[in-house]
Amino acid sequence: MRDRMSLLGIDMAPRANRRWLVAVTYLSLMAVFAVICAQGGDHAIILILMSTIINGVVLGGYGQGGLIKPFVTRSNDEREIHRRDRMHFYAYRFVVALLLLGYVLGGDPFNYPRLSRALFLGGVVIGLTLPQALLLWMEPDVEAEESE
Amino acid sequence: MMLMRNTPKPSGDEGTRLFNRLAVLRAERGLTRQALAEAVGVNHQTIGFLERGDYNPSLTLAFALSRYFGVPIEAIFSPKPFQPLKDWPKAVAGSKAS
Repeated sequence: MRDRMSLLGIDMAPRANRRWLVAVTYLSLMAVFAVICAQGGDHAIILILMSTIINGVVLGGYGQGGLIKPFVTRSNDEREIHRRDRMHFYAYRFVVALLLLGYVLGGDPFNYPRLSRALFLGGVVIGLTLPQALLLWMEPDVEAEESE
Repeated sequence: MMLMRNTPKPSGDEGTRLFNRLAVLRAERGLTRQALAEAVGVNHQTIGFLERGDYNPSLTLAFALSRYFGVPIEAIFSPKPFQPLKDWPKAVAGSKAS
């Protein structure tokens, strides 16, 4: 997490605010995902770009913007690295479960181009955003530094 | 302000929680979390997590804290609750008698 936890003037130190942010973010992504899938998945790049921008501006983890510090080791201490790795592990398991579920319920996706495109797109979007979303969702309220 | 964390949460998925006296040691020396964090090379939020028993430090960090405070690691972290200060005279008297 960054030291300054604020987004568009809203204090993101309380976990409740961060959970709202994650919920709104995923609702938006799901809405765009549904529209793109309904149109046959031809404009998938829009959703991938949207996820990248959300990462850069809202969630963070990959650059100078967003609520989470870059995932590189030098900018995180041992607890942050531990949390980062754990959230990536959870996200990885979720993506694998999603793909397996799609395979089992939808049949071999390679026989159904629309399903395989949807699964691929969903996997990319979740892979890009889920670790940061989990971090924001699960970290407790961030305490302000006490004065001397 | 609670100075001694003697009620760690259940272990969850991160192993056994440790009890610690970090807040006491920090308060004795008039240190902010930020100052202690800078001294041992972590984020100030991590000091808060340590004090609340929400995070167990690595050996490296435990040794850094031990060196910084000038006390053994066992004086800072313990798998058992630390004895409350009000019980100290009794405990000391008991150990001297035996």
